[in-house]
Formats: sequence, structure tokens, C-alpha cells
Amino acid sequence: MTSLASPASAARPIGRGLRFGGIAIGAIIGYTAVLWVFLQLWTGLPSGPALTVAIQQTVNALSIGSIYALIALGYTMVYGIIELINFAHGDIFMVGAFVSVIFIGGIMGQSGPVDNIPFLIILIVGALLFTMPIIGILNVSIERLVYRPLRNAPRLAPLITAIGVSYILQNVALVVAGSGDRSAPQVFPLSWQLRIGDASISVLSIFIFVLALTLMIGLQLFISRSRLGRAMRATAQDREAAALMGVDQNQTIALTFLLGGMLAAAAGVVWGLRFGFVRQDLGFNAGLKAFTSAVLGGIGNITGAAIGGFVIGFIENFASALGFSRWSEFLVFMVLTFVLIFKPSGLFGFQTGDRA
Amino acid sequence: MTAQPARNAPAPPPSGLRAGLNRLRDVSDKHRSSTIVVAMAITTVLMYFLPIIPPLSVIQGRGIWYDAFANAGVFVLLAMGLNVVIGMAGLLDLGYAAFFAIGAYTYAYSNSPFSHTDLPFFPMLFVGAAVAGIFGILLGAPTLRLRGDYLAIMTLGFGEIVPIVFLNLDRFTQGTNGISGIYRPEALPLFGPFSAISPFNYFIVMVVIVTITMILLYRLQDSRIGRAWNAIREDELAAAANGINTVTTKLLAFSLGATTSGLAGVFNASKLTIVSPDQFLFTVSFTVLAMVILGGMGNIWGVAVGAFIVYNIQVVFLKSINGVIETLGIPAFNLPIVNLHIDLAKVPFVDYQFLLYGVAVVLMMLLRPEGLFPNQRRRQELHIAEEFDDGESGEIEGAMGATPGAAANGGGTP
Amino acid sequence: MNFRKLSAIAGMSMLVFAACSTTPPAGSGAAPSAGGSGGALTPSTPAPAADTSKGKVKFAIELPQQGSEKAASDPIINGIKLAVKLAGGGAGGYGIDIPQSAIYDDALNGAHDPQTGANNMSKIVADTDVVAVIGPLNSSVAKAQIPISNEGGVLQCSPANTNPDLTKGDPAKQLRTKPNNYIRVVTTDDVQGPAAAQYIFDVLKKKSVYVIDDTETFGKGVADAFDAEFKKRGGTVVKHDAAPKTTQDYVSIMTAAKALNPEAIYFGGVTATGGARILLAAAQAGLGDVPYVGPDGINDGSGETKDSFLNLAAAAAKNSFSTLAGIGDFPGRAQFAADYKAEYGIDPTGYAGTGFACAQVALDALKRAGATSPADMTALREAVRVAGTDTAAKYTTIVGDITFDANGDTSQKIVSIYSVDPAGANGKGDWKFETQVDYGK
Repeated sequence: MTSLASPASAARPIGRGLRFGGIAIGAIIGYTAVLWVFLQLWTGLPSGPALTVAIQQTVNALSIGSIYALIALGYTMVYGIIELINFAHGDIFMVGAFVSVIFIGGIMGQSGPVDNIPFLIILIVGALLFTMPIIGILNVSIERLVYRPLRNAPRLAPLITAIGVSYILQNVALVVAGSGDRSAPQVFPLSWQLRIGDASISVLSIFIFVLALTLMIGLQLFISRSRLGRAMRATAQDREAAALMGVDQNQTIALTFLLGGMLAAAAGVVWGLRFGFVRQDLGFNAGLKAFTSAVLGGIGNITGAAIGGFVIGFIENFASALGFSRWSEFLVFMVLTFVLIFKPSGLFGFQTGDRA
Repeated sequence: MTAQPARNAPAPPPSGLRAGLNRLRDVSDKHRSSTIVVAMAITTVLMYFLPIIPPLSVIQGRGIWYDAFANAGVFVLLAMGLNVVIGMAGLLDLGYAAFFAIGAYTYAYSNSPFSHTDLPFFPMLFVGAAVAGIFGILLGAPTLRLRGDYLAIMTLGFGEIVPIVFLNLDRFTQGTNGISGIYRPEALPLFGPFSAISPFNYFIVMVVIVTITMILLYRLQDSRIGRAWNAIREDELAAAANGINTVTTKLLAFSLGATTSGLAGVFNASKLTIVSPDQFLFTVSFTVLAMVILGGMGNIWGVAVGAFIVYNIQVVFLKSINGVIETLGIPAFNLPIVNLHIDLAKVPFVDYQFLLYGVAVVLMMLLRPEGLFPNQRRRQELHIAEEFDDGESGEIEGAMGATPGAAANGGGTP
Repeated sequence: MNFRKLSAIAGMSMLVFAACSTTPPAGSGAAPSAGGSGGALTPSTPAPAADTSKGKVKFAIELPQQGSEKAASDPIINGIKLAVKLAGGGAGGYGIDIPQSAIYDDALNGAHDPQTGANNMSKIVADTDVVAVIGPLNSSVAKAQIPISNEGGVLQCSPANTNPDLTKGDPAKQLRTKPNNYIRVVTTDDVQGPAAAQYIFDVLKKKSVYVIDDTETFGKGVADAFDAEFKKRGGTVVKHDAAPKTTQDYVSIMTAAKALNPEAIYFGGVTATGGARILLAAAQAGLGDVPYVGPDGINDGSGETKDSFLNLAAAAAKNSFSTLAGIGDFPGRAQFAADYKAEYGIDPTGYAGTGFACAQVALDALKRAGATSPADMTALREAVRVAGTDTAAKYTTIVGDITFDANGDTSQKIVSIYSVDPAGANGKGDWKFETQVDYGK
């Protein structure tokens, strides 16, 4: 598994990728099957409709899982490199969602579905190209202004400061955009559906999944192949040794924040397209769940964070599908508790030591 | 090796006011409890008389001031409790409001029409505090061995879960409607009954509670346990190597913080007469955290004063500041470069209070992490990293209290 | 202090300043327009300046004025001030003042907060010039306030609280240590919920419904009342789900709902806790064509009003309905709209009418209290309370003729039903009055 701190395996990446893909597909089908059974038992649906619903819910789970995975990557990279839980990262995602709405709704003036495929592509690519750099730069600026002076301070200080930054971001959004929901233009037509038997799956969900996968694979390749990626891995493994080898600490850390911010921004764009609303306290909850995903997968481990994101998405979906959605946050925290108590290094992490 | 020229030279002896203050500090250190009682007595007298005269009497009525002081006292208790956890033992607890909730609901279960019981108030203070303390132990036992960041997240999670549980188990807790009609405490001999519109009794009780808590906390701080907390905060490995049982010591700090929070919860429930899950969200935990940071981590009276000041700013001054600005006649002006028209009298500062807290927390951590009323020891700890850091990028100097692993590196680069 | 830190401070300050100045100043409603009302009715002329020989009193207003609730509270404040103005600024020989300092905000961090409301009520009670308070908006705030206002003996009239526990049954008794001081001019959720149930079952003729509430006091209360009534009529509630306002993925929840094939959806809550989000998710999950019904929490303005349900749900709201716990087509409605528009330049929305009514009740109570010649302000306050809660008193208010029962509930148990007119408000959609049902008869 690729983590920031373990050496990249150069041997047979295609083979590993295929095996990985196989496991993933197996997990997805497995979830559908389990949900199918539970839907029949718990809600008493007959077998046919239950399968339809199970397939649709699986697709829902993949969508929300993609979003959590993208945000979790930012948490895990930053933690891997400077051992800081960036509490403000969830709010970075929220700002990204707002900026995307500003682009699609404000600058491009859209408010409803767009049928024209080339124009739609321009809109979405444009939103990504507009939002990702802005949020990336915002993240880098926060690091520069607020976290860098505290890099050598006692552990508590950057943590508390991150909470402060989170509150600042939330409240600036509150002041500027108000506390209610803001409508996000869902330009990707929701009426485009694929049919699998009786189940209809929206093309948007597929698009979200593919986009998230592409970004994650891109990140993976960048970190394992490029020089800057190597610098990031080295810094995560041993900061002083990397510095001794000539790696520019500040530049590497800034790059980490930039990439994390860009991924969160992509999640923000996707959020607006899928759910049609943005809100200033979006970041707090999404951030907590994404952080749980990162911990679940093994904090510092990129593949782990991605997988963790999907796992949390599936758990949340399971709760909603069976009708106890008001317990979904509770479930997620229980997962966090169990992971932290019994296996703090996460599913794929390695021992990071128990010292507080 | 970086030169440290002036550090070892003896500082010149202080004179005048400095000397006087030092003597005062020595006297108060020797007779701690008496100093606290005297100081609280003076403060109480001030709090009693100041609302009668302008300017305080102009802003709001006397009874309202006592009410505000009693409410501020709740936050003073919360801040002192969180200070034990964060300031003394160095553990970051982000779910502090959960214990507040547990104390409040405990009192609600013992004193409301919903539960058909009416138990006396003063013993319930202890019971509620103890229940919260037990939950502190339950939460702390499995999680305190985690490293600081993970502990923070775990406590944050706990802080989120507790209101959710109270909300969802509505057969037992009446869910979102909460438990209302909670009985007020029994009448006091001299002062009469507790009531909604004459809060003086609450004020007096709160003063007594705060005084006693302060005495207890100072006693603890000066005891072996307090020193153990300091040791753990500065370097846990070294403390363990010196024979301190880190697990028990941390657990004690954690549950003591929880106990204080539960105590505040009981009092608050008896005053507001209604408990509901939405009173105990993360906002409360963050507010108390901001108070501890502003007041001065590790300094008991510092956080008490900090909490008192912040609460009054939030509840009293931010609301009346527009009126004050208007009375003072500060005109509207234009910011030059960005061309913004700003009319301070109309800016709704109340809406921005959490923005201001966030900014204040960030600025404090960047500039003065030891708080407004610093504990000398903490100030040295927090700034020692700075003194060694000569600003070059990438160099990590070993220093006390800096990132773990640094201790193993010794001091400074070769 | 080095440059880095200085730039941090400068950056923060600029941020705060910029944020502060982009928000319009807090105030009470828009400035009056120069033009006329444009309707067929001319605005009423205010009564001649009232006799103020006995002195001045204050009416206090207590409402949340931050975030999305500000849009609901501002019309109420406007309505109250308009009522006082049209009455000539006084009653019973006393002049009435509503200074800015008597308008209290119970919001904290963008939403209503019971503790803040309680603090405000303590201040109101301590202010000896206050003889009546109008508010609050939210039932959860009222629960924290009634013990205080009851002990202080101040007449409290709410234009919008609908939770039955405030006036009925044991929970209500627990809030009061002295004789009742609380009245409200809207009917309660145990009437509003069933009204929707009746409408869906009898008029829309849908026999199975999916209920979802936002786990909050108001939302859950009205959804539970709906649930019970719908079942009593013989309909099926396929599921009664709950989703707190922090829920993010409503699509999964609505996909599960779709599997149960409901013929209608009932939402218990307000726009801010998910009213529009749930509808959008329902449309995505394939339930976009079934009727979507909600309580007055989603009836908060047209498609042009910022943050309103219709604004957020846009086209998805084409088959939506809402109830108002008050009369929709009241006799003086057109005149009231003309007066309101003449004074404030905009049309009245939401609870402006009931705010006006509360003020009328308070004015009438003051008039009758003044007639008893109370000796001092304390006696006056008590006299106003007695007059206001007098079950024999009949009021002719803008919403009709009403009396109050011993609990403080209005005799007018009328619930209005609204549907969506997609062409209204310049094509953005507006609520259209459909019918009203009188449960008092």
C-alpha cells in the first residue's frame, strides 16, 4: 500500500493495480448483496425491489464515499508530513463548495441543468480549474501565516490554532453568505440515467466516482513517480534526514497543503453538483467524517485514506438505507472509537507509537 | 553552536513596584487558601456594589448584573476545569461540553416533574459532579494512552455523541424538547427563595462554589499531583522514567476536569430550569477553550478572570457596543484603498462574536500562547522553542516541550 | 514583533473589516418607499395622536434576528410597529415606545438560542417600563422564557409559537408558578399537523405518506401530530424518519423512501433544518412528482426571498404545499397589505399579520388596564397581564375576532393551506392561498 512514508514499490504497479481493482469490485458487490439481504429482512421489501434499491444505494454510497475520500486525502497528507490534524480542512472543503457555486452560478450565470454536452464539459472543467487553484492557494496561505510559525511549538498549539482557523472560515462564510442554505446550480442533468434492470443510476454518480478515482490515481502517481513527490515522501518519513539531503522543507510542506486543498476543492465542486445546496457548517461534519476515514485507513497512508473514505461512506449509507439515519453520526464515531482504541494505526498504517 | 551570551548572567534585582509585587506573590504562595478567600471576598463586594453605580448601572439593571455574574460563574467553573486538563496536564479535551451535559441531565433526572423526583440541591451538586467524573474516567481509561492529537479527536467525538444520544433516546430524555420545569434549589436561610427574577441567591451560591473550587484546585496544583501533571506535560517519557504513573495521573486530571464541568452543569440546570441537547454543542466546548487560551493556560485565576471577561463581553458588551459608539459619536469613515464605507455604530458585532473568538484564538496562539495572564512557567515553555529557533528553514532545534523525538535529539544541531 | 506576525494580524483585521462591512446594517425592516401602495386600497390614516397624559410605557419585542431567521422576524417587527403607529402611538392614556433597546435578539451564532432568550427575558422583566412583550418566534425559546416572564408577571404574546406544550397539559403547568401571562394568536401544532393530514387524505386523496422530521422541538412535534391524525383517518404512514439538520446525504435517505412507494411526503421542520434539501433529494431519488407538504416552517416567502424554501427548491417545488397555523384569508387582509406596503415599501410576508394582531391585543389590554387607574408601573404591568389573559375579553384583530382560553390559546383554530404557484413572483414561484379549515367549529 502506498503511504507517504513507506518506500514506493516500483515492481509491477499494473499487477498491483489490477489486484486492487479486483478487491474493490468485490467489496462493492459484497456491499450490494449484504444490503439486499438486510433490506428484505429489516424493511420487508420483496426480493426484486430490494435488489433495485440495493443497487441504487450502493451507487449513492460510492458518491458520498468519493467525496469523503477526496477530503480525507488532504487530512492524511498533512498529518503524514507535519503531524498536524488540520481541523480547518473540512472548512476548506466548504469554502471550495461555495467558490464553485460562485463560479457556476455567479460568473457563468447558470442555475439549472445544462443539456449541451460540450458546454457542460466546459462548465465543469472550468469550475474545477477555477476552484482548485483558489482553494489550494488559500490552504497554502493559511499554512504560511498560521501553521508555519508554530511548527516547533508544543503539540497543543497548532491543534488549537487549527480549530481557531476552522471557526474563522466558518464564520466568514456565515457573515458573507448568511446562515441558511444557499442553492447550488446542479448543471449536470440529473435526468441522465442508466438502467440496470429496474434500477436507474444517475450518470452524475458515475461521473463523480470516475473523477475521484482519476484524481486519486493522479495523486498516487505524482507522489510515487515525481521528484517533488519523492521529496514529500522523504519529508514524511524523516524530516531532518530529508532536510539534510537538501529537500526544501517549506516548499514541500506548502506543496502538500496545495494538493490537499485542491482535492478538497474538487470535492466541493462535486458536492454542489450532486446535492444542490451549500451551507456554512458543511465543513464541520464532513471534515469529522473525512478525518475518521483517514484514521480508519491509517493516518499518513494515502491509499488507506481513500479506502477509509469509501468505508465511511458505505457505513453512513447503510444506516440511511435501513432507516436509522439519525444514528449515522453516532455509528461513525463508534467506528472511530474502536479503531483508535484497538488499532490506532488504522487498517493499513504501521505502528506510530502510543505516546501522547 | 549558537551563542547564548546573556542567559547565564544574573539579572539585576527588582525594585519598587516590582519588588512589592514579588513580596505579595511570596506571601500569597505561603498562605494560598487565605489569599483566595480574601481575594474572592473583595471581588464579591466589588461585584455587589459596582452594578449600583454608573457606568455599569447605566448599561443594565442591578438584578441583571447579578444574573450575568451567576451565568458568568458557570463559565468560570468550566474554564477552571478545562484548565486542569489542558493547562496543567497538557491534554487537549475538545468534548468538554459532554460532561457539562451529563451534570445537567443528572440534575434534571433528580429534580423534575418528568422524573417525579425532588432531591435537595446541594447534595445533588456533589452527585452530579461525581457522575460526570465517572464518565470522565470511563472515557479516559481507554483513550488517554493515545497520543495528543488522537485524544483530541476522541474527545471531540465524545462531545458530539453525547448530545446525539440525549436527542435520540427520547423515551428517556424527551429528546429535543428536553426536560423542562426543573425545580429550583431550596430556599436559603438568610437570603430567601431562589427565583427567576431575583437572581441574587444564584449569585451568592456561585461565588461560594467558585471560591471552594479555586481553593481545591490550587491545593492540587501545589501538591505532588500538580507537579506530576507539570512533569507529564513537559515530557511524558521523562516523567514515566522518574516513576510517575502517567496513566493514573492523566486520568485524574481528565476526570477532575469532568467533575468540575458536571458541577457547572448541575448549577446551570437549576438556574435555567430546562435542559435540552442543543445547549451542549461543540460551540460551548470551543467557547470554553477560547476562554482558557485567552486567560492563560495553567493559571487558575487567569482563566477564571479570562472566562469572566469573555463572558461579559459576549453577553453584555457586544450587545451594547453599538449604543456606546453612537453615544461617543464616532463617525462613519471610509477605508482608503479598498473604498469600503464603515459605520461602526451599525456593525452588528454580536453576529460576529464567534468570528472574533476564532481570530482571538489564532492570534493568541501565534503571539502570546501563554495567555493574557500567563503562568510564568508556561510562558517559558511556550517560548523556549522560539528562543532557540534562529528562523532558518528546516532546522529543528531540540527544546523542552517541542515535538516528540526532539528530546532524543538533545539540544541544537551540531 | 516581526513581519510575519504583523502580516498575520493585518490579514485578520482586513478579513474582519471586509466581512463586517459587506453586511447591511441590522435594523427593523426596509425604509418606506416614496410611492403609493399601487393597490386598489389606500392606506389607513393613523389615528390621531393618542392621549399620553399618564406617561410612557414600553412594548418589548423578543425575536431571533440573525441568519435565516431574520427574514422571518423582520416582518413581525414591522407589523408590531405598524399597529402601534396606526393606533396613534398610545392607548389607555399611556404613550407607547418601542425603542431599539427594547427589541431583543435571542439568536446566538446565527440561530435562536434558548439561553440567550432567557437572559433577554430577565432583562425585559427587570425593565419596569415594559408592560408587554411580543415574541418569541421559536417554541424552544419560549420554554426557557415563560418561567421568567410568568414570575415577573409580564403579559407575553407570541405571534408564532405553535408547540402545544407551552399552554396545554402538564408540561405547560410546570412552566408557570403564578397565574398565566402567556397568550398566542396562532393555533397549535396539534391542530396544524392534523390539518395537513386531512388535506392530504381528503383533498389530495393520497393514502400513503412518508413522514420525515428534523428532530427539533417544532418539527418533531408537528410531524408526530400529523402521523397520529393520518393513521386515525385510515391512511398509511410508510415510514416516519428523522434526519437532524446536520445530515449531509439526504439522497440515500430519500432513495430508501422511494423504495416504500409513498404517495406523498410530509416534512416536519423549517427551511433552515432541511425543508428544501429534502425536497431536492427526493426529486433526485425519483420522488419529484409526489406532493410535498410541510408546516409553516417552509412558508417563508416567495422564490425571490433570499434563503426561503421556494428560492432554494426552485423548480422542484412545483407540487409543494404548506400550512400556516393562522388564518390566511382574514377580513382585513387587503387593507393590512396596503398599509404595510405604504409604510415599508414591501409586501407583508410570513407572520407580519400575527405580529400586528399581537400588538393589537396588547394595545387593547393596555387600554383596559389604563381604565382601572393603576397606582404605579408594577400595578400597571399586573393590570395589563390580567386584561390580556382575561378569557371574557373579545378582540377584534386583523386576523379576525378572537378570544383566549384559560391556557392562553386563541379561539381561532384556523389553519390555512397554501400551494405553489410557479408563475408567481416574476416566475420564481410564490405561495398561493388555497383554503382554510376552521377547527374551532
